[in-house]
Amino acid sequence: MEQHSQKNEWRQVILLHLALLLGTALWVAVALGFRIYCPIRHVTGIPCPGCGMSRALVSLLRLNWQGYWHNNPAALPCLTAVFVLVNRETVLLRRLPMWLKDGLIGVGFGLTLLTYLVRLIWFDIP
Amino acid sequence: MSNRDRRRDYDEEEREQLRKQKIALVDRFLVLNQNDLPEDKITFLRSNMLHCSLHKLTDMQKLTCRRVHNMEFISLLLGWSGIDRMLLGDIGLGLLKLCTFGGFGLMMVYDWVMTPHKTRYYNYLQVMSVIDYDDYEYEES
Repeated sequence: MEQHSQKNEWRQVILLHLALLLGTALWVAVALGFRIYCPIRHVTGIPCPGCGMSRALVSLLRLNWQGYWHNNPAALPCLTAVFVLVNRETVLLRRLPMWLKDGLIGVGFGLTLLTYLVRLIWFDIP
Repeated sequence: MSNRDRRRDYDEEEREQLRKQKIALVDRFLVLNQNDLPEDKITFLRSNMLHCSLHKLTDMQKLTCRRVHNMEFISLLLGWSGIDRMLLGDIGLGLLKLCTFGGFGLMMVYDWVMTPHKTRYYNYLQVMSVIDYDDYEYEES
């Protein structure tokens, strides 16, 4: 009975991550179908906090730190926040206290916003 | 023992049995849905549900609460289309989300954060709407 419930919990973790990946892929695919790379930039002309994140992560995978920093240095904090957000009620992060999980989400998204504002005001967003 | 005393004992036994049945139904419902209802409202819900009639409580067992995990899954997969909002009763905002493509992504991320809380509150309102205050059974003093 306990093994069955543990299997269900792990299955839930996998399903949530799959949903996140598929959902993001669907969103990007539909946007690209309309030739929109960034909805906010398309409508307002101003880049959004997520602009350059995919390129930054690709650079990181290639161990190109300069490329990562140039494209969007907030990619890792944002990714951490999203990971904690998706897993906050699953078996993966159950042992962590709620205040820590909420704190990580807040700090991650806060850093993303702060980086965005700094880059928008003083630097160029590619 | 007079007939009247025997009748009173039988009535008390019947009331006690009814009370136990109601407690069993209420606790069963709350245990099955404890993850999908707000934690701070469970005591309040329990006390309100215990005042309902047995018939109402039996009907309440058929009430299906929206599962928090399922709503999280839908929000992550199809959040950009506003379906998660529509399933929680926010039809207008759901349509706005659909038209603005997930609120340009911002509303989508906001809903990723808020979906568990909103789902639990939606379920709480569903249960409260089923509790009919005209049907309340108060214990005789």
